Amino acid sequence: MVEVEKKQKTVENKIVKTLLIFLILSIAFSVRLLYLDVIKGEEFKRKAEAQWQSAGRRVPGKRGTIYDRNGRILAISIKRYRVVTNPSQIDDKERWLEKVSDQLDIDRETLKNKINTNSSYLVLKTGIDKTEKERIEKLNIEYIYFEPYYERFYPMHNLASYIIGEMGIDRGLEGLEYKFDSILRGEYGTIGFLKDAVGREIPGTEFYIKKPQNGADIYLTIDINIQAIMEFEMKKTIEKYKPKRVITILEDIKTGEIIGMATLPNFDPNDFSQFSKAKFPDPAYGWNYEPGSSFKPLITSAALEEGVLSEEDKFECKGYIYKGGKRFTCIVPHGTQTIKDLLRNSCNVGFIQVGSLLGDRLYHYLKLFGVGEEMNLDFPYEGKGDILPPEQWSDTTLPTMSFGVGITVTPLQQTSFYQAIGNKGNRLKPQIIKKIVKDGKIVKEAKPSLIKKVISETTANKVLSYLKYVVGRNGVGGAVITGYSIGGKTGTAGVIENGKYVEGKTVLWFVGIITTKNPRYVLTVLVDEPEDSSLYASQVAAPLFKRIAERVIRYFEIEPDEEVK
Amino acid sequence: MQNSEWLKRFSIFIIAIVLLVFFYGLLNLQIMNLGNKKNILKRELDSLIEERMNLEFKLEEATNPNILIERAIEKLNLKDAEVIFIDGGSGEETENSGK
Repeated sequence: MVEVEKKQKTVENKIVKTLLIFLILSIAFSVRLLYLDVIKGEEFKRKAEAQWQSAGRRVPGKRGTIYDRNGRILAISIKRYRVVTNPSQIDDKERWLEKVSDQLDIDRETLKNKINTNSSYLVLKTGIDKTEKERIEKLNIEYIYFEPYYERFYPMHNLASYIIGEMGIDRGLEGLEYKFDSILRGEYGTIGFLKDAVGREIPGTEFYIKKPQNGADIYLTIDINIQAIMEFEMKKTIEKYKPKRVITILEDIKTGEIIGMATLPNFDPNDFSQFSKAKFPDPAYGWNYEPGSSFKPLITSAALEEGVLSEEDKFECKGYIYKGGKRFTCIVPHGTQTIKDLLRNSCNVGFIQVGSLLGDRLYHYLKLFGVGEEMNLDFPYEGKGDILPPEQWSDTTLPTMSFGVGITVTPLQQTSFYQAIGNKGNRLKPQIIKKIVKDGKIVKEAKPSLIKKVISETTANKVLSYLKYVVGRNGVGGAVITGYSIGGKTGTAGVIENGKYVEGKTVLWFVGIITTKNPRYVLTVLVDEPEDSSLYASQVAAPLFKRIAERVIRYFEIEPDEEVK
Repeated sequence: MQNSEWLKRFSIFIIAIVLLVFFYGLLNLQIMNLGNKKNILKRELDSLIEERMNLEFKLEEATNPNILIERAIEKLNLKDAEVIFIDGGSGEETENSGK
């Protein structure tokens, strides 16, 4: 019995010892496992990956979308695919060639020449969309792979193309695509590939080493429907008068937001050949034009503000005046006029007299308005206009400047000057960016930004009433809209090339306020070099203003503010 | 304490460790599985986003105001006809559609 018990104890001792060893080993293994997995796991993963992955290639994030103010897409990056292959992998090239050339619609001979190389990477086709990719995938063709990339599309085609600009291969070339390239582009990521036995990248095995960051989305202040209305009406003017170009700008007087801005002829940014023929920067904000008589409301504002002019003052026009030894003329003698009549008759002789009252102070007021100054717009290559400082004036500079000659402004600057008149003298910065949204969060939002108070409210209101008088009965009939107190001013100017006026070339302006009783929008129309240079702005620019303004009124449901007789 | 008692305690302890390692492995497998599922769902989501963007682009292109105007002119068979704008103001002005 004792013998049996002894034996049993020995067995039990052995089992305990074995179990102890097993326990120690289990603990050791567990600790080691945790160490390798938790502590060293990432390092080993990296080491393992490095053996079969290539070092990586830079890839851009998805470029941000550009929207209009109502969220309609103006520019978008859409995923497309490149069909690629590794020619060195293909065994039976003849059979493969036949299948690929048929299904991918690629010329067999061209393809044959391409694949008979030692290259490990060959692009067969680009611009494949998802549906086409799925069709090709179902064919189970060997050795072809799909590489995703983003392609920029402009669903509105020509509409607002000068504002949006154009994308090159990987960066914005012009317009907002250029100006906001860094915001739209986002951040580059890194993409890796698996490597074959000899260390070459295997197409179609891409994976993200570092995920790229998508770019921010930009919402513009423009309304694409208004833009379409403007461009539609402008086309008719182009067909009828065959000018070199037409520019129109619609700006919100209370906020400075640009609701529409069009330059025609424009281009389809989806077609690069059209883009290369376009003139940049957009003439609407980048080119300087002589304003001609459309500048007279600024001269009036300056004279009123300086206190050298009152509504009752009378000016005599015999049809000509001599200043600085030069004879300046009007088309007809206008007789005795007040400032209102000077504006309505666009009397050069009268305005030369107003300019004389101001003298050098005219320069001060025009600088105050912002002539010759940039507005720090959100557009690239902004023009600023030209104005000579008084010390460089000749005897004829002041008289000519008094009726808008010998001075230049951009169409957007001109719009902004009228915006100030319509906004109690407060000149706001013209805005094109409504908001910038990154990952669903608004990172920047436009708010009305005051550039300067350029004239007093009293002066602004007086000039507004004069502008209404200009368009009213016996005024610029082409711009009259029944039931609405439209105000505005025409301007016909010369074209300067190489420092000289070119005969037979004119620029026709009309800048109008919708409406003078409740100023909401300023609409600028510029018709650059109509075929027939004898035409006046009242015949060409004013009717275009009227057609656009009528539709703007309908679109924004602006109530009539004038009694219809 | 008797050896059999030790044996019992050790056995439980060892079984506990073995089970722990087993569950640890199981948990790892589960995590890998979920990771794969997440990747599949992510790919599906990307694909749907891609599809949505394609459709949005096509919709925008099809409802581009310029294209709508052109389609309306074509649909109404306004070739060489005059379009009279009666939607505002005097409504007197007539223009050729240019088509």
